Amino acid sequence: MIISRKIQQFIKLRSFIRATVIVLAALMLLLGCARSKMTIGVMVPLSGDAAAYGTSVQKGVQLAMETLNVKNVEVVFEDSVCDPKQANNAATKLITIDNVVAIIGELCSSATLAAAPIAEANGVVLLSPASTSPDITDAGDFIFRDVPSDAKQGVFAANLVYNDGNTSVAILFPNEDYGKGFSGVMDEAFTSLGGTTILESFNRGETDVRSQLTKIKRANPDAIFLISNSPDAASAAIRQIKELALTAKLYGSEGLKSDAIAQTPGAEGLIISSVSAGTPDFMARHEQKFGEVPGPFSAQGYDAFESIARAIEAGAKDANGIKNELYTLSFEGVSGTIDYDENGDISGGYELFIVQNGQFVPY
Amino acid sequence: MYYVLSLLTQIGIYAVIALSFNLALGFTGIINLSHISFLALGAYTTAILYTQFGMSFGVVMVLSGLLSGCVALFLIYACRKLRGDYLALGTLSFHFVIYSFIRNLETITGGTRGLIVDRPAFINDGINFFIMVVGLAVVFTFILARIVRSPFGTLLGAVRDDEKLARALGKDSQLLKVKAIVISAFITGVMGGVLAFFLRYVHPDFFFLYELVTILTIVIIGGLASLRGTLIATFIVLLIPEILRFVALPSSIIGPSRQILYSIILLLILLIHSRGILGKVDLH
Repeated sequence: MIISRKIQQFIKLRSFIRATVIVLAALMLLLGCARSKMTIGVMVPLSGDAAAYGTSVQKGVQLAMETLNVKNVEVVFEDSVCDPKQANNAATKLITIDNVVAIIGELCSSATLAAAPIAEANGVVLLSPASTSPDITDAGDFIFRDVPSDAKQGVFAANLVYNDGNTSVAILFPNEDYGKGFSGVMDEAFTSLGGTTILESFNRGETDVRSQLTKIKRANPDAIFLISNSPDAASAAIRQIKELALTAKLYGSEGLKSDAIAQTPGAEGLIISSVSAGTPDFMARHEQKFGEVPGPFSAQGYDAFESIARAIEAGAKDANGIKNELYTLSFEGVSGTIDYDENGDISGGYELFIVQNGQFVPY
Repeated sequence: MYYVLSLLTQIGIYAVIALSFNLALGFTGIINLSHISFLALGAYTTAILYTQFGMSFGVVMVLSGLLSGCVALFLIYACRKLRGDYLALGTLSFHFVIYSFIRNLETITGGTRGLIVDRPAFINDGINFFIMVVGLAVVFTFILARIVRSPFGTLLGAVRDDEKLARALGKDSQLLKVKAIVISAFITGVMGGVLAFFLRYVHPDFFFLYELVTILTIVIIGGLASLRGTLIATFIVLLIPEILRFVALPSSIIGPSRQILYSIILLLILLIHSRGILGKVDLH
């Protein structure tokens, strides 16, 4: 009895080992097959409070994959939650397990900056379709983005307001990386044009800016420039501007471009600068495939994939090749001209929109 | 397999942070919700002193721990009259104070732009870094295990279970609490420094409520007042979301479904073991 049980156990053990070996062999075979293809990682927030931006970029990338139909290129999506630690893990996983040659992502500047040293150390291209922090300019040789830096938007905004005939502007901005960078550049540019500025900040998520607005009202500027990437805060600010009967002309940053804001009482006549939402053709294709207009940074996601696809088609065999090709690349993307400078940044253009009858229309 | 190595390094770092948290929360019963601010202080001390002032690695690590320890001393002094839920609220608001300081003291901390941290050459390599973390984890775990098994550890348990009784027996419960939280903060401060070197970048948002929830989850899942439980729970809490990356989910629902699966697993553990995996005590 005992002996037969031992034999049984031995047989079980043997079949277990055999099964393990088969599974491992199959895995290695799969990995071996995967090698002949090039893999691109897409690392965006797919959960958490920035998930809406993440899915919007994801759709842009999917549309690009379908349209361009590049052979031997595979895409792996990872959720990095707009969180630096998660971005660190997701980037490490994409680079060492999926052997990607390039990563499209992250969207949040802090997460992109956290993933940058890993991409740089492993020699993998990191191309962000949405991070606008000026710090990313010097993040490394392998770090690119196809959205202009805040530094450029600040200068653009200053020129816009000044050339509209305003000599004084109040800049209301959120007290965080994005708001501080943007308002600092705009302040400098507007002053050097010969205008005067007043800077007032509010905390992210805060929806009561009456005390800041009262100060602005006392200074009586020609214009107010509202910087925000939170629709709730922006629409509250616009309502309160109306409540306090401020007569200054109203301008805003790209984060204000949403229907909720256009329909806010007091938003009529609001002019915003925004990175491109895509060419009409891109919008039509997006609407046809997903049944909705492209969300924020969807066009940039599309162009990010096209950049890498073009680099591969130009003959790049590995990450280093893609990096070198990207620096020489120049094409008309759906979000504007894509032409990376020596820092991996693009100069990019902005579009202007104005609120008319509760809707954003081109200005 | 740098991915696995990087995960194991992270587990090592978080295990020590959670173990030291358990010393205050589980073994002494101090509901200290500002634990992550000690981590932040350590990380920023390291980032600033090492990268900007070029101080040596060892000195920076010790100073990171000492600063966190001193701040903990101040915190426990400021909160000396608070108990239970009120202590939780008091320490939580202290966490917000530290967070706002880091976020707004731009000239020193870089504010919301964060700070880039250089790694010392000898731990630039993933394997060396991992070895260092394992070394630190073993040393700190050993120290903590000695502490909780010593007569001092028993006294901490007495303070947790019945502070009035401990005081009636002539034990200085306040001093015991001070010692426990300062040790906990010192270790966390050092690990904050290690975390800064590991991530090569510090940002105020690393040290907000999300991190507190992670550490709290580890300690609760592992069980209060159990070092072994905390160690096991660190593996569970940090590895499951990574393992879920390999479950072939359709790309359109990757984000939410990973979170849902993760929460279900954690909930199941707590439904089966209501005191955590190896928990021994309840807090009242």
